[in-house]
Amino acid sequence: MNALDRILESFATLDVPANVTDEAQRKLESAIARRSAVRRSTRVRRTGGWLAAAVSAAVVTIAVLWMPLAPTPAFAFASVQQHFRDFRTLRFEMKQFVAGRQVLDTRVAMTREGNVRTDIGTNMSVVVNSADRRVITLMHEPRIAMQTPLAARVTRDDELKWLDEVRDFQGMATRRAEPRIIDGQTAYAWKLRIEDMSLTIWATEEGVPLEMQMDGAAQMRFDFRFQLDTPIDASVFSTEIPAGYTAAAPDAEDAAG
Amino acid sequence: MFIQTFSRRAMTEAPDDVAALARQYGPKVFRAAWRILGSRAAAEDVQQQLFLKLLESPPAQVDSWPGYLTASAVRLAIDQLRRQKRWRLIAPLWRPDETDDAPDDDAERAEAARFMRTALASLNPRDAACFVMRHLHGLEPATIGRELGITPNYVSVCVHRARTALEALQAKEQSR
Repeated sequence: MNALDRILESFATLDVPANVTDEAQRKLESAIARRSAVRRSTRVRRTGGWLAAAVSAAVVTIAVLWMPLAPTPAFAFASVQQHFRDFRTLRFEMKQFVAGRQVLDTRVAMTREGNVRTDIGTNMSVVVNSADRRVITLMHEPRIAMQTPLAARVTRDDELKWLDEVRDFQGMATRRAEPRIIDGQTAYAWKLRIEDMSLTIWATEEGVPLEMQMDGAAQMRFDFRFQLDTPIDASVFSTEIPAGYTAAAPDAEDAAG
Repeated sequence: MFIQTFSRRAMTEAPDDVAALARQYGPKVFRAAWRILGSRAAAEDVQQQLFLKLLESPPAQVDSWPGYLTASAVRLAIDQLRRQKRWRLIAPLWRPDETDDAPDDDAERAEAARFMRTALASLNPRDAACFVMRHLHGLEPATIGRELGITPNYVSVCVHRARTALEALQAKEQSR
């Protein structure tokens, strides 16, 4: 038995504690149940036809009659979720803090067509252009650009996982009574809890999200600022190698898609 | 026994089948990912990503669910390991090392885990996946080949290439 075999034997006997596996399993089953519920409700919405339209009309009529009497803004968290589902373009800036200290600033611009640009600090940008079916990774300091073909449609990366979580949230969102002014707009806070993260989303009376704060374990905090449906120039999603950058060969698996 | 194959349409219409798959194979998938990543949070991500993807876009046909799920978990975990390595190079503060091996692991096993995780991240991902599936999960080359879309002979080539690379990395470490 050589040294590598001994390492392998040791590595193969590593096992995760049973309570950790059980906890992961519980979270998995809960995530599947939530996603399945959303899929079922989406199917109902899609196939509801005239009945759904009639019910919607009735609800709107009732809401219009009721609104002048309402003491607080008559919008629901569903309206915020709807904006996160229906945007044509979304820009956001995300600041990450650990123990109160900012460690990273990320800016994301995305379109409904599947173009996404992520600028991570000042070091790196990743642009996914669905029409060109190409991804470019720019490393700004060494001025290196790496183009790779986009074999499959874009799937969400970890940085956008929160978006699905908010869109699909089925639990209780509570609204704080006191508004605050953000960029000249009156915003109301919605508080919700998703697994071990506590979220506060500030949205206008129409449900347009403006800011979000995510607090999680290990003294981690993320602050977001959103802009929905603002025009984004096509050049933002260019996957051409910029002047002054040297093309680098992609990793083998990236090129293979 | 849970059905061995089912069509895209059947799964789309019956997402509960994914829940049954998750109940049966979820722990296996989690352990496969955890061994490679050494972090419960990262392994949970892989586990959830795999099953939620099944819900959204199920494969057309699966001959063996244990083989398919093990192969998918290994590939996702290796991708994640490589991403972590890149992130550490680019922004060390963004994703700190979060391995959470059990505290009672002896030094030899902890060292074996550290070496294997670092080494697997540096290999060609296909070679690394073939190696892990063959040597840690005992899958046959024919099964690995079917899951990765390559011939069994090429699986053996990948495993051999990975082994040679790992031996070289190990020798390099020993000589330090």
